[in-house]
Amino acid sequence: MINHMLKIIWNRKQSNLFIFLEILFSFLVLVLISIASLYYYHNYTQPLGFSIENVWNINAIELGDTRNGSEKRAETLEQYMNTLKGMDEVTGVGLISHKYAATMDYITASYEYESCTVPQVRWFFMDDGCQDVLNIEVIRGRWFDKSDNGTGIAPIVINKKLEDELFSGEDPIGKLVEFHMSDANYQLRVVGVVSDFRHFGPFSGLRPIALIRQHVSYRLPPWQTQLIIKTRPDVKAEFKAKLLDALQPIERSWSIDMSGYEEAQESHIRNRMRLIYSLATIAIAMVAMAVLGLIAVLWQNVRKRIQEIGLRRAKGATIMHIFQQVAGEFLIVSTLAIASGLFLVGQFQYFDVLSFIPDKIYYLGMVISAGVVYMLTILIAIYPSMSAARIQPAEALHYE
Amino acid sequence: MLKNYLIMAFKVLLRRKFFTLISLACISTTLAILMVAATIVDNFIGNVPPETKKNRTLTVYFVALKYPGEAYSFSNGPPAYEFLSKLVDIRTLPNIEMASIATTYASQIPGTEAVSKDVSVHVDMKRTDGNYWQILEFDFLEGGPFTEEDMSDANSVTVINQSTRKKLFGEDHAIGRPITLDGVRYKVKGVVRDVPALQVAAYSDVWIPISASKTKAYLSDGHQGQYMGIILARSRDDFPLIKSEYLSRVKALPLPDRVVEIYSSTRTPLEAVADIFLLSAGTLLDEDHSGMIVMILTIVVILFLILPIINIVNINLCRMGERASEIGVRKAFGASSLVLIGQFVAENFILTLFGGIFGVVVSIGTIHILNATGIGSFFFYYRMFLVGLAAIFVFNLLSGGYPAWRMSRFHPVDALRMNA
Amino acid sequence: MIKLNGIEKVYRTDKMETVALSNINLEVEKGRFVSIMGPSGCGKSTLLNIMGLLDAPTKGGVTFQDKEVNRYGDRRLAKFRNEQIGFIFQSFHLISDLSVVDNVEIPLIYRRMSGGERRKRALEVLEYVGLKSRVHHKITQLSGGQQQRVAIARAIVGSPGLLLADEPTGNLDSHMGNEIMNLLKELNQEKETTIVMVTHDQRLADQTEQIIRLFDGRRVN
Repeated sequence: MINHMLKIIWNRKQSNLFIFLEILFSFLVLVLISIASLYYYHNYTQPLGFSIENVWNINAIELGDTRNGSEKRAETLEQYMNTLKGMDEVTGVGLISHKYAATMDYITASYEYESCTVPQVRWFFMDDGCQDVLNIEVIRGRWFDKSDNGTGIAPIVINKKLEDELFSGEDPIGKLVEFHMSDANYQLRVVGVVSDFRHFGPFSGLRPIALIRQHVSYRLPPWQTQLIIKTRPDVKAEFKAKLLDALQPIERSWSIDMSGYEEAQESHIRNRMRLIYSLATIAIAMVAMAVLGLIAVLWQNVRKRIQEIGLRRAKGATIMHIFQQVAGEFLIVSTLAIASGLFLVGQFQYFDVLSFIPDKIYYLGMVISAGVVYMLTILIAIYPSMSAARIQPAEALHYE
Repeated sequence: MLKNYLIMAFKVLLRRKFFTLISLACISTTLAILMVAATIVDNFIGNVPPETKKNRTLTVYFVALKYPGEAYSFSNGPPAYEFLSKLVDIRTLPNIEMASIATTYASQIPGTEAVSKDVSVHVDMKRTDGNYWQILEFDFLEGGPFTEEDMSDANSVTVINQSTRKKLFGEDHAIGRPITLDGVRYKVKGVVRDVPALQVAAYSDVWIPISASKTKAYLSDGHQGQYMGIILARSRDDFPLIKSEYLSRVKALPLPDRVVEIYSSTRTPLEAVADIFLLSAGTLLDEDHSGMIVMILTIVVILFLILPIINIVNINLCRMGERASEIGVRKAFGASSLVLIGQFVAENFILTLFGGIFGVVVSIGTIHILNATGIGSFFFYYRMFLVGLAAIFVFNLLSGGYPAWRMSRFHPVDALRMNA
Repeated sequence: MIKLNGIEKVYRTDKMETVALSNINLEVEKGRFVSIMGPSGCGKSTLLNIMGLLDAPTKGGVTFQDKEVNRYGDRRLAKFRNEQIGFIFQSFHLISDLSVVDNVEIPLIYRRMSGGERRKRALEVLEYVGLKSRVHHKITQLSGGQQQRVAIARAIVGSPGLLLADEPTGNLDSHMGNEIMNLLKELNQEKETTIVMVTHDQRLADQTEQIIRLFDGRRVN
């Protein structure tokens, strides 16, 4: 039976080729959009590893054209920090190298422990105060503190992912790791492990991340120093004006810009959702068109064979037989198309082209898309088959 | 002959209404999506108010300093005010109408707090000169721009946009009223209509004269800073001359300490877009990457078109399959294969044309909805109709060509025997 | 007028060869009314298709007014068919999307001719076949006999030298069949059109000037 079907399909290979391609591309479009949405949704449900509640970013920057800032830059920053610490409403002040949810803004380096190297590790500079501001969840060891002063080797905190990749089961606390960035090499000592630190926003994936201790006196360039504060939950809108009044007199040649973490997250989510929605709308519109087109094509095939079908009905073929005859070929072609699609997408996964996507999501996306396409093909087959099955033998023979 | 094609096309289209409807829906959806995308791209690189002279505009938005050593020895960033105004002096480049200096893209520099009475809002601020308002043609709702005199006298005046006015003053007029930016008081001189952030040179919430900044720090030496240069050429033909003069002035600059080479060049809007998307991929700073971005966009468009085109090809093959007898007859009575291909392509063209017209209407509607809901603010230009027409033409050839060729190859004897 | 020399037609499939025609030689002189007869499957339609240059012979040549036409390329062949040959089919093969007069105009579409001239000629031949009152009707509104008259009008509108009819009365009852046969005879006599007609009806064949009999792809006389 199947052999016979395959022969028929092969004999009509040219028209079947285009049906095959249409289903294949519909599948690919669906796989793309479902893996992307699943990936985003999965990331969204994962904890950030810190809290953004009542956290503000204060970007205080020198209005000058000297990229590395003036001599007294560190001093000014420290003055700002002290002023902030002195305010009632502020419960924590920290210094961090990057803005929240700035997905395109990152630096990477490779980390080495004994013979194990993890490349492309994104890293941040953070100071001792960041723990209080961001409520970072330390699961082993400790956060940076004064005891790290003057040890000669800079301390780092790593996330669970980097711990797993770099130490594979060994206790990382107190171990020395090598840090390579271009031609620079340093030794760093691991003092703690955090569950995660997804400072790139709620849609960012699980990545190895390293946090390196900084201090206001390290004189990092301005684009790597952001002040962050946490306020008490009951502060009012006027606080912003009060804060500006307090900070602005400190140094006239500085500009101050303040934005909330929650606000940044909201707009980040809004923008990403907009992108996903528009892509999904386009994908669904395209697949819907393909579905309608295929219904038309199949329906036309039924009309072409209306006499033959009538004859079969007259000879006692059941509705199921007719369905098999009309839809069987189409379903086999679509099975082939889905199988080829799965194979193609599987290649991407096999060769780890998109290694940052968890396997689970990859497989789920493939299964969902295959299921949806299969259901669609059955739906497509039903209408023409039903109209074929309804043909009365007599009527069919009179047709045309 | 053409008239006969048209009659035949309408008859065939009307006969299989379901097919026609699906084809039309497919074509118009596809073209509508393409047109919306093209409009967005057009808003990036085309002449769109206030950047109405973009096709004669060159920008300078980066200076890269090369340090000795192998890897990671580039420092790349926006040029400093001094670099543009003194070291290279873009205002004296040959064959230019004028040049302006302004702070660079809003995404690259911090914003500020704008305060009026007790309302404080976060705004993006651009510091610029008087020429800026000549090169870019803003739509002023009230008042007017600040001038070169405001710049040279360091007057504390500001231009704000519509939404900032709304946040600070509600529905009231703003002219002459004070606002505090960066802790300094400015008087509102003009209010302009909002500009989408896509228009990197024009976008901001508030504008002040560079000289009226809080400090004179902008005058400090340096190559890299926070500014961009906007150069308006007399015509596009002057681009090569301006570009080469700029490059030779950069080459002639004395090298700062430890620096072995200075890179900087003037960019057309397309080149600038290409840089933004491709420069991080380890490409060379002085090269023109616009060819690459055009290629990438073309590939994306082709990938997007594959599914709808296969869909139409399928429908067309099906449609033509039932016309075997007609093909046989036409061949028997003297139609050559070429003539038949012509007929089927013409028929498909009519279908695509109708779908396309509908698609254009849908895309204009979509743009309006996007603008009305505040998702974007895009301008739809009539030049987009040309894009639409080209798209219709290409779509027609791709979706109608293969089925037409297949049909014309039908052997007349088989064709006549097929559906007797 | 038309001459077939050693025509052979073989259909090949993967497994076998079927010889449809072998070594057919025949000549039809100008102004003659010739019929081809034989049982079904004997290759008479194939022979007609080769004469009409719709199908190419496997071997042998077709000369039309001393020109070796079977070597023509697609475009020249199309032009030749358009000017010299008119076809009439058993199942009419009218285009149901077009009106009567539009169907008749089809051969003229492929010539350089103004729309007015085309319409004039189409109306003339429709009058000749007796369908003047049905000019703007749809094909489906006509009876079988009327449809075949439209088909004949289409075949003669371009004034071809040779008319090829494949069982022209096969789908009609005997009364209508007679009418069509009379029309063909009239064409042959009045307009001196050369006609080759395939039929399996001895009664019709008897009305023609010459009968060519085929059996199993061979001429038997």
